[in-house]
Amino acid sequence: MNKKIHQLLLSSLFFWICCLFFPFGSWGAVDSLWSQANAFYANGQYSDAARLYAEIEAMNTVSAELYFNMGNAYFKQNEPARAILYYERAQRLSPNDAAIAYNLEMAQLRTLDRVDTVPEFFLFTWVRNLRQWADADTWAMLSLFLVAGTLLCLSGFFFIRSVRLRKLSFFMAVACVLLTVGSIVFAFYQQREVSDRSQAIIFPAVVPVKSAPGNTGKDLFMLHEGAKVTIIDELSDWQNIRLPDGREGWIEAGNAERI
Amino acid sequence: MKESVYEIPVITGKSSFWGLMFASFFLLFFCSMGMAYADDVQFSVVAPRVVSVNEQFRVTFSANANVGNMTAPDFSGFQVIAGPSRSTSQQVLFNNGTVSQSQTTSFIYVLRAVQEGKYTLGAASIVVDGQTYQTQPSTIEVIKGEPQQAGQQNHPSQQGTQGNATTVDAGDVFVRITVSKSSVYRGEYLTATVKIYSQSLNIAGFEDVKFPTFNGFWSQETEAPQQLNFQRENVNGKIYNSAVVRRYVLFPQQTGDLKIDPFEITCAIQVRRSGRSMFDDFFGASTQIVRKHISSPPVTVHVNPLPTNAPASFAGAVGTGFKMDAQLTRDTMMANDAASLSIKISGEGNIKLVETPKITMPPDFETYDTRITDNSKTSTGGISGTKQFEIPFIPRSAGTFTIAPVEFSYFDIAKKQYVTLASRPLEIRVARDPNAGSSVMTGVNKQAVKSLGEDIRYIKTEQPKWRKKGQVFFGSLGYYLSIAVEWLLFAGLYAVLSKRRKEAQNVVLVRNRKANKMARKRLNIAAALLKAGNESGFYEELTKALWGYISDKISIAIADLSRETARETLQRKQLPEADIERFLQVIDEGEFARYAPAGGSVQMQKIYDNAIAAISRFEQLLK
Repeated sequence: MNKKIHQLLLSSLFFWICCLFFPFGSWGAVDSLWSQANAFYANGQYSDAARLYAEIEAMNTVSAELYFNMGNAYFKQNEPARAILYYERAQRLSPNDAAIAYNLEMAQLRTLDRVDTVPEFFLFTWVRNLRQWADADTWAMLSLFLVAGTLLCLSGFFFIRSVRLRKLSFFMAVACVLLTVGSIVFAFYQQREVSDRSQAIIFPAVVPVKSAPGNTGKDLFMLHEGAKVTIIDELSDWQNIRLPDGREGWIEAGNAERI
Repeated sequence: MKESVYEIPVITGKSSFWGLMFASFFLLFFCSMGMAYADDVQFSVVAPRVVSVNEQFRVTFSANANVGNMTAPDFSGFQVIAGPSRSTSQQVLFNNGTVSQSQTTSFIYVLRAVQEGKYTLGAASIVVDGQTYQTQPSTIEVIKGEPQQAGQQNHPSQQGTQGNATTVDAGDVFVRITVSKSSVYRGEYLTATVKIYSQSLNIAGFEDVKFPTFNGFWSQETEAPQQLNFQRENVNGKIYNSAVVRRYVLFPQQTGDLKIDPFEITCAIQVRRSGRSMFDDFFGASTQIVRKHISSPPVTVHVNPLPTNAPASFAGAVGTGFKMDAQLTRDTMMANDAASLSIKISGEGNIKLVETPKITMPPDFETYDTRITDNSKTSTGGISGTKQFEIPFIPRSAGTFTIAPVEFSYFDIAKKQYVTLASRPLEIRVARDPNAGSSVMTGVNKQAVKSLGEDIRYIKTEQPKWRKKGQVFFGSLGYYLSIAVEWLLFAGLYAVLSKRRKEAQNVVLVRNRKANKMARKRLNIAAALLKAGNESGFYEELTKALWGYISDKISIAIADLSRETARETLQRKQLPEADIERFLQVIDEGEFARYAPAGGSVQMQKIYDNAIAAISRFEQLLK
């Protein structure tokens, strides 16, 4: 009887994992486009590769790898701003990828603006770095495993007769609960960051940032291609942006593409 | 003697110096009997380029050899007034013990222009030592001009400034910068000539000469004569004497309309004072020096930018007929030996500005500073020649290496397009350094892996896990369902396990209940055996009854049961120590008697009673 339960548990878990990793539907068309685009890239036909990658994206099919390759294709075509945009998108889907981080840095080297970020309290940085270890879905999966672990430990606590083991499983259950809460919180914040559409990349070579929406505003500073800004407000055709160093101003809509 | 500038001063009249010539001939015979004449005979003609109608002028044919007679060209269009008059001159030079001599023969004609037009003097020919030499044909332009001004140099009173001698006509003296091309590409050469023009050749001197700076150009002087060599030139139908002051080769370095600064000069001009009497003339006090500051009109050169589709190897070379040759001084060598790559670029254009072509040496080669040798000549036709780049290198490891083709691009002015020259790939075979081992032994010289370039990481080629845009697992129905399923599974597990525990507890209960009954049954059998006097059977059954009872009571399997486990379990159940001791003692006595029967039926009865008492006591304690 016990075995049967285990089997049931395992098979249902397997089912859910399958659902997550191999979503229903066939990706045949996408896969062939993918390999074609990669072949173009390997041949140095970067614009063709970028076109095919964009086609895949237009089919609403995405992945960190797709965004990464798109970034590469644009980088090779000397469009650092677009490359940065796609590397940023790739990084959102796969925050812990070293190659993405490296190429993003390479692309940022090509931009003109050096904006100093306001230094942050080190604990926040630590926590954020820990959170960046995985994307929202990975944290969500982890939380599922931790819930399962919590429940198993609870079962142990209820049904194991040995006092020592019962004590152990109790503490493990408590730890699992804490970890579950942690991973759910991380998943939530990761999720919020990914779906956050307020960050944007400047596309034109030079964009004047004005003190007010409209052409009457005074020019505050200039932003160049590839700069990353946060859009905090929008007023008709103007967007209120903020730089990582805290400066704010207004630019005309259409100059920045949201990540 | 205004014309003396373009006449050879050694020429002397035939009649006046006959005696001297004669003496020279003798000298020649004595000094060098078999001495050959100057080996190349040069035969040239000096004739004014522009004359005016009715002007008399001189045409001189001269050769640096002793020539008997000359076949004169056809002077049609001109009237021969005098000539030919032959004159010879000879020069003997003693220089550090060597004797050199030169001889000149001239044939002079005096012609008069009859009609306006352009006339070509054909070639004159002479025969020296059986060989025929010819002059280049020359063109003489005859214009309607003021013949007196240019033609009759000995009559300066024709100056035409009779009224006020101190004013100098602006047309009289002027300077001008002429450029060979007014529209060029950036880097394409052009020549700029600074010339001074004067009608009357009465310039006494120059002051405050300011040459143009040629901003925006890279300039090089090609001609800077010490003495002005005036030649006649037709300027707007007037005959001027012009002389080149400077000649430059220019390479524009900027695009757009480049303005060349004017050339400025202050001329000291001899002007005739208005003649008061003929005696003034005679005593030479009739001229006066007038200073006049003149500057050239501005010249603008339009410089077109080069087409934008420049190849990567283009570094500014512009010209025609460039050639490149890349060679290794040797292609087989040993590691740690030195060799060099030599690149020779030749052509016509801004060769001086050609930079070292980019060369990618194999990474393990050490390269040193390039040695550049410039063998270019600057002439009116631009700069031509050869520039050689020598790149010394030392291969540090053995192997066969290929130096990628050296590329050199230039903009071809004639074709108006970029031309890229490439050498063939250069292969070099490097053998192992035979001394390498010993040097490695003395000191291990490890080197860090050098970075040769930076690039982004390559694309990811593995099959990605596709997902729909915006599709997230966290917070989705699937996520909550998964959690629900987990809880359901837990609930199921809990239910099953708790039911089983309940059942197991029931089993214990049953066994507990049955314990008394089972013990009684066994004790009854034991009592029968007691009566029968079967001693070993009795003890066996008695101990079994006791063990079985305790096993059922504390629900431990008989196999796992020992004296110690039983005592421990019972103690945990907080039974009085004395009772546990008594029970275990009964078991001990029973087992002892079973293997060493002694004491007979009395003893058996006693143990039997003790067993009954112990079980009854436990029955009370373990409810």
